[in-house]
Amino acid sequence: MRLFVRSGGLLALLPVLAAGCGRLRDTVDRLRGQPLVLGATISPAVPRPDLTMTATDGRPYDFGQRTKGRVTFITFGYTHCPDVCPVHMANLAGALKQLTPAQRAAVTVVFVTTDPVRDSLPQLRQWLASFDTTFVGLRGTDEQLAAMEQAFHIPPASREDLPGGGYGVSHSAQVFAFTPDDSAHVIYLPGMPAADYVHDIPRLLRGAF
Amino acid sequence: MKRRIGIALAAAAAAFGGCRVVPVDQTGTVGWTRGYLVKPAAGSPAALYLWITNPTAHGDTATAVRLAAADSAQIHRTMAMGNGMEHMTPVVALPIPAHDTARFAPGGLHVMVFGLDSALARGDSAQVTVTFARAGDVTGWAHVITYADVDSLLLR
Repeated sequence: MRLFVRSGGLLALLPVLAAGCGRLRDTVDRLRGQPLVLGATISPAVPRPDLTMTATDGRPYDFGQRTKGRVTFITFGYTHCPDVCPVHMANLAGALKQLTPAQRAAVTVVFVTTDPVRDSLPQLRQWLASFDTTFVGLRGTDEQLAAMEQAFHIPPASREDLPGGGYGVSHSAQVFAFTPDDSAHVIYLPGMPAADYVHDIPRLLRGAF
Repeated sequence: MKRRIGIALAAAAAAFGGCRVVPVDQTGTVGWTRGYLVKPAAGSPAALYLWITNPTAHGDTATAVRLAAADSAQIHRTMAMGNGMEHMTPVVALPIPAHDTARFAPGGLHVMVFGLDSALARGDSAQVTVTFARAGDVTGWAHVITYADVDSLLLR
């Protein structure tokens, strides 16, 4: 019985010990001049915007309120993108699968469509679900999209016709990562492998970057 | 089995259509050493990545790509604009210098594939024909993969 109680106590302490070890590692890495995260740090940081768009369930989604305090990856793109956007989403999905349940539960991934004409809410939902059913898809009016882009200090997406019909959309291609302090200090460029996200997410959860 | 049928079909096409059939790992002429066709999500266009190599002493130019299992295909290049923006532009002629390789990869060169047969599944092979200005039509194969495979196959 005493052993059980002791074991239980130790088990309860494990997350605390793990967090402590993580912070100790952060301090050692800082002292050694090593990067804490493999993403690129940006300054000034982007404050988490308090803006509302429409989620794929058709309901308003207040980005600031719904993701407050959470590690949040957010990127802009379109479902007809064959290259950068699906690779981002696949690598993020691959990374999330490698987290502990507690880490996974603390992370939100948001995709904002820059092609609201073709990206209906069902199309957006189906596309995102092919990567991870928990990914949040947001669609808005031109004004809502412009406000979101301005909040991230990125140029507006633009439509460009392709030969033979159809069009592509030029858009910001980095992934912004918010930490629990409700600021995005870190961005991830296209082609960031899942392993790098796996390396960074525990640190982002600790607010280390 | 599906691959064997495909190869037989390609051989027949070569015999009757006049194009040369080149296996994926061919050497001695312009062709590709790696070919990955990424199955699209939710009916979106697919992406095809090739490592086109030119072991000959003469430069060549890729001018068109077509797939037996798709409506159309275009070579595109994704370019970083320097302000965080990515811009996709069509490539109507892709030079492949002598003894050089053009490596298609996410965030760079890719073939945008429209109307891909949705029956193609991960692990299948898809027949691809690239038209070169000098070598003419070269037909080979691309492995069908998913976006989850891109990280390990094309980003490392």
